[in-house]
Amino acid sequence: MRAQKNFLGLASILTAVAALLGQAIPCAGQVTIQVPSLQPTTTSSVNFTVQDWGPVTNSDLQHLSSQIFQSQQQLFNLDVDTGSFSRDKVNRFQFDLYVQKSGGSGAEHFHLYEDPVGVFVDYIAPIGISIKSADNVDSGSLTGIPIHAQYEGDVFSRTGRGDPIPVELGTSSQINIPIVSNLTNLQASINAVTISSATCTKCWQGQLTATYDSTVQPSGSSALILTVQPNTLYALYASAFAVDPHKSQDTLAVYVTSTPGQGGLPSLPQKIEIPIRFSPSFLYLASAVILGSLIGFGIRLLIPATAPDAAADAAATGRFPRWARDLLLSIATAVIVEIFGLVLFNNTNTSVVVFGFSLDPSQVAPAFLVAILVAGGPPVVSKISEAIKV
Amino acid sequence: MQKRLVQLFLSALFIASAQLIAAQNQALGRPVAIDKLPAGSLYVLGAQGAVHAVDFVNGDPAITGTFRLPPGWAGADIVSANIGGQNVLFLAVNYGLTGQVCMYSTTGNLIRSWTLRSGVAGIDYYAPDSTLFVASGRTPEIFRISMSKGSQPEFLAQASGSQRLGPILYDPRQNALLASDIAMGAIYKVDIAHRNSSLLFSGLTSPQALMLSEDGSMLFVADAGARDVVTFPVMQPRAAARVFAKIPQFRSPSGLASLEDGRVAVSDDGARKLFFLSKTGSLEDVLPGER
Repeated sequence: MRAQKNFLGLASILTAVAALLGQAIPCAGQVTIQVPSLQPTTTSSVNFTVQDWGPVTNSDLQHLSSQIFQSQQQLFNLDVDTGSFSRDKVNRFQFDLYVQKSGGSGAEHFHLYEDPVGVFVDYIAPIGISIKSADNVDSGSLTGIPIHAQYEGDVFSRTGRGDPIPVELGTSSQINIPIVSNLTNLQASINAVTISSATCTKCWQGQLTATYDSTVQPSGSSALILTVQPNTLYALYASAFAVDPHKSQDTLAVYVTSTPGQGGLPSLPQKIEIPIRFSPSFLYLASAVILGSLIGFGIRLLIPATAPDAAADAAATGRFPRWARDLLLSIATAVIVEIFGLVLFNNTNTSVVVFGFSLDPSQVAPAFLVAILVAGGPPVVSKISEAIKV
Repeated sequence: MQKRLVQLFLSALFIASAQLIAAQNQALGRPVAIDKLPAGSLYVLGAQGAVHAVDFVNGDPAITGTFRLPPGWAGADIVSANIGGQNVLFLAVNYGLTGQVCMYSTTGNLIRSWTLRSGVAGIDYYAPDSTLFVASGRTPEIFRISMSKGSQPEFLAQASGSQRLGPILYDPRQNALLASDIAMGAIYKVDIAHRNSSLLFSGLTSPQALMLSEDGSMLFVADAGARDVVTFPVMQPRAAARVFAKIPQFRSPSGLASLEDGRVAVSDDGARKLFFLSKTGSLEDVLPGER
């Protein structure tokens, strides 16, 4: 420390010598500046607070990460220290500006604070500046200044259609969510992504996780890849009551926390909603169709026949008894109808309409219901129809 | 020959001193708040979440210890306290818009933390009541955390008229909080018993730190906008400010603490330095920052 004090003494002597040799030190208060407000959107604004931190020498300017501009009449050099982009103790964005008279030595050191009001998305903009000295008035523009909001708008938007995303039951799968950055000229860093179910937390097994590129270029595209595994029983239960083919059976809320580049504030988690439809595997659908066929056939047997079917009785002379042939026929018909329904639904998005209700044949409950009706035949259909009318 | 030796010695001294300063500069960073217990180090909170202990070694200030908070945490305020015979630090930090008040041991172990959704601007601790006071970062609200009850932050009062709260200070003589407004350049008195507030002092530019004199009669205010430290008589509302210290090296005074010998330590975020002032406000020592 004693050495440091000696150094300070030595430095004072060296400074004095330098001054004598012509290294001019500018006078304080020679230059004043004004920075008008910006209006990022119609409902937001950014005011600038300017503090004059006094004169500096040319050697002070050499250590800066400079971005130098000239005023309009070329009377002043405006030197923005990009290395000073930072936040103060109350989170205001701040940076240093040095104003130097053209041809003069030294500069006046100004410190600028941004005071944003309202919600907008961070961007880089030119800011106007008016400069006044004892004998000159000039104006200029500082380009490439980050304008940071206190209340950040949505940093990302989800691209593509917002239709429900199918998630296969019984297996772990990945969902690709394409996003695009709304920051037109600033990078965005994704700090964290958390996922939760909005309506059916029990429909999911384990932790819902996401992988992503942590840096997104200005206006750049990226993707959140969600790894999910449905809890089959709960998901089947949830899907049983949401048979409309266009409605989601659960919604995943994906919360993205990000930080705009060049001194932006970490945003509050931005919520992106992902509607989900559970799609059962072939095995589940086949089971539903067969079970439905059996039940439908059983119900048909229980309904008393209105007249003896003589022709059918006469024909019942093959290798199988009549009931066995009827059962096989019911199952086969239900399977064919289900396959036909699936082909139509997947290729033309045509849903199955039963009793006026639009159903998705790729779901377990509708497949089960259709199989009951098909296997049960007209007696079952008319019975149910009558029951609904009542 | 002698001249050459002297030149060589001076050069070596210059290089050694420069390296020493560079090392200290590296460590100090941007001090945004300071505090000191009577029997303890001077603790410095950096803008980017570094906490330094500063002690006087052979009469000169030096950094004697450092720990760092998680990345992305921006320092706002620091208070040191003695709880159960152990010195602890209360740190007010912000991660984006979310505030966090953390209790740390002086060696950097996190003991407890509280989250404030509207950010945090300033804190103060009143030991006899084991109460921590917290000023919100984006609303004019003041919260109270009772350490003895282990409670969550509970709304205490609102500094009506305030636009943006800064540091706060508990004044036991008035059972009131003195709350600064960095946007209006004012100090409000928030009466805890009646839960109302009134304007106490105005005419400041950007009050960034508050401190009471030893006898509690004078309020010291670090005004970053005016680049000075001023005093007000606490019991005389709307009295004019008196300049205590205004030195050319000040850029944006950000923290105040009193030392055992009556001197005043001032942290300066813009200058990246700690200034040590005499009882009369003249500069006595500096702990250099970056640049």
